[in-house]
Amino acid sequence: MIYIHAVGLHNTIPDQQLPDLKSELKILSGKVYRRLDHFVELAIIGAHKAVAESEISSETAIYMTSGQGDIMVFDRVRRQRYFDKMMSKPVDFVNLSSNTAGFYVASHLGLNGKNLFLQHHHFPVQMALLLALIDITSGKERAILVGGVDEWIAKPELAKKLLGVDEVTRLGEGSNWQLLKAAAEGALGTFAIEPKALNEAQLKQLLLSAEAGTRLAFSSRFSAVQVAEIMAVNNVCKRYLYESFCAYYETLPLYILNRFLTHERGRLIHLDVSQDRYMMMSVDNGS
Amino acid sequence: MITIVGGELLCALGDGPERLAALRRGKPNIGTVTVDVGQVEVTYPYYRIDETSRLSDPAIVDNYLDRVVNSLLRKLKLQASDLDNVGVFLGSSSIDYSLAWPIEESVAEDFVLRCDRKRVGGGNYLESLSQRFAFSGPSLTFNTACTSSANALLAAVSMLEGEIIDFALVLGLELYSPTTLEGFAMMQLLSPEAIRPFAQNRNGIVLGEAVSAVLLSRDDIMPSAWCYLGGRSSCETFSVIGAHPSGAGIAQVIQAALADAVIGPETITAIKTHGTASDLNDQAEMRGMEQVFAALPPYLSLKPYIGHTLGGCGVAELLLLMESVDAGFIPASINCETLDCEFSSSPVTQSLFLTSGHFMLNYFGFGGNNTSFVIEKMAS
Repeated sequence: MIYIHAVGLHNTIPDQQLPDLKSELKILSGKVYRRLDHFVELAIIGAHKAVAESEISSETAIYMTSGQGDIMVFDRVRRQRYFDKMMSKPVDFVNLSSNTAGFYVASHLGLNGKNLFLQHHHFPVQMALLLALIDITSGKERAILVGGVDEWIAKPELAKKLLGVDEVTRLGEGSNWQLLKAAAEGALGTFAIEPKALNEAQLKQLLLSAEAGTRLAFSSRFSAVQVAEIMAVNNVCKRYLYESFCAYYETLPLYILNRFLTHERGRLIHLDVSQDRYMMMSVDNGS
Repeated sequence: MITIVGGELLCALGDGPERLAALRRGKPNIGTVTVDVGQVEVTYPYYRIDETSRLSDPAIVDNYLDRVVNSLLRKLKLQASDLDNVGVFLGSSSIDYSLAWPIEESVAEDFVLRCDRKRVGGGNYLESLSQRFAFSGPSLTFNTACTSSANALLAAVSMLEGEIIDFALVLGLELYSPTTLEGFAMMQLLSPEAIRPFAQNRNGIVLGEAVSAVLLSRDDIMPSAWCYLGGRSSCETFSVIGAHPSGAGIAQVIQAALADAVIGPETITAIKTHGTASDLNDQAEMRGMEQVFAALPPYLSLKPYIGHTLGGCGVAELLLLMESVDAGFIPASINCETLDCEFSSSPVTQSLFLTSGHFMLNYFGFGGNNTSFVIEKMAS
């Protein structure tokens, strides 16, 4: 278990147009950034919201994750290469590595600690938080800013195909961050995660020990039938409904945890599933 | 203690004995590749595994990863099923290029994507590898540019030390990508002739391919003569494309790696530098090392042998160093006939007899990412 000291939520459901983040970034930070991609702006805004009110050590690490990374620059470079027969711009080439977003976040916040961009096929948020928990628990890192960043693109048909979601799924974008530390003092709550993927029997066994009032959040990968079966395992748990506040993006689990921490009290268990493998993590901010 | 059980590598130097002979002789195999730079065709030196590689085709990538993992398992006389509780970690600067496949395919078909709603993305390679080898532990894919697989190794160490896993298979991946080559060419970072780390006449990097795998464990699970002692990764925000020329950020990460390994600089037997042969990178690295080491230990760059394999170089260069020391030497750092006149000491110009010691490995990359770690080969 580790402690959550700050959270930042940036979650939008764009309709037709890409949200204008340049002006929002300027208002938030008082700084003018030029030639930054939407993905980078998104990353900075979420991280800024998380720690704007907090004291943050310059050694704080950044573990950033994303479902698709800087997909717009990728699409742009491909189009330039294949359709326009042009060389990509240097800034676009460099930003093809999505880790450059972490560089700009570090630069914005004055950080010089470890800076990782990591991905997982189904559970990017869970794996980033797991690594953060291990590194803080072992003392390798004193503080880690964990962020999940996914951008909406004005070609939802492309994004849906790449994400493997159906045509009716509504897509959103978000940049959600947590500042994690080993120290309890001043914390908003605690974070814990089952380090290994569980099978259904293991998941149900663990849920049996959940205390009264525990809330359960289900990722959109669960079917209604699965949700009903799991809710029936322990009738002292209540469902946490977040779905009306957001649309789909890969790093949504961080938004769900952060929304709970900023709007509710108690313990939230977040459940995700892929191919009969379940990941379980929880936050607790007391009663 | 974290043990380095063994590794396997596909690179331009060929297979085991052939590779070792090339390292001993100081004779790499360099090819060429031609790219369109602003509608002008330019030919650059390039270190290629073979002619079949094409990064954006996932079937080819899967094939290379399978080859290297199967070969490693054979070498260690292990079955995949022997690796109970194994985590898999991949570092590549090109994981975002998994998106290239459906997009490139669609170009030929009037932009009709053919990925059939099968999720693609950076975690795709390890997901399919884990399924093929029935690895059920955690997996993580890293893109931190040229430090990617070095950072993947540090994360693997964290999970081993935290006893989340008992084995870690750490992979480095970098294959030929026209986009990458054109990008570096456009930024005028490629040498048109040769890679000459730390030389007065160095004029840029030469890219190469490598697919590599190293198996880590703990000494209570699987002992080895090689062990990981400590390491550190950090980010400096001077420039998105490189370290501060003063070397301050590099000195800081080297000092932190030594502190994590609980050894002093005087204990280091030799340093495998990042040694890219770009003007500013070599300058920053040299100045960083000089701030930490009163007298530089023998140091070398392995990039003249396999090229700059970008995110793959973390594991690939670790394995080249280990193979050489296991064979009783460290290779000469070739192509540095005349040392940069601002540098105080030369890299090793002849291969050195060495069978054990403490080795520092340095990696630096785009995004201000600096990584350094220390390994030890115990004397038999």
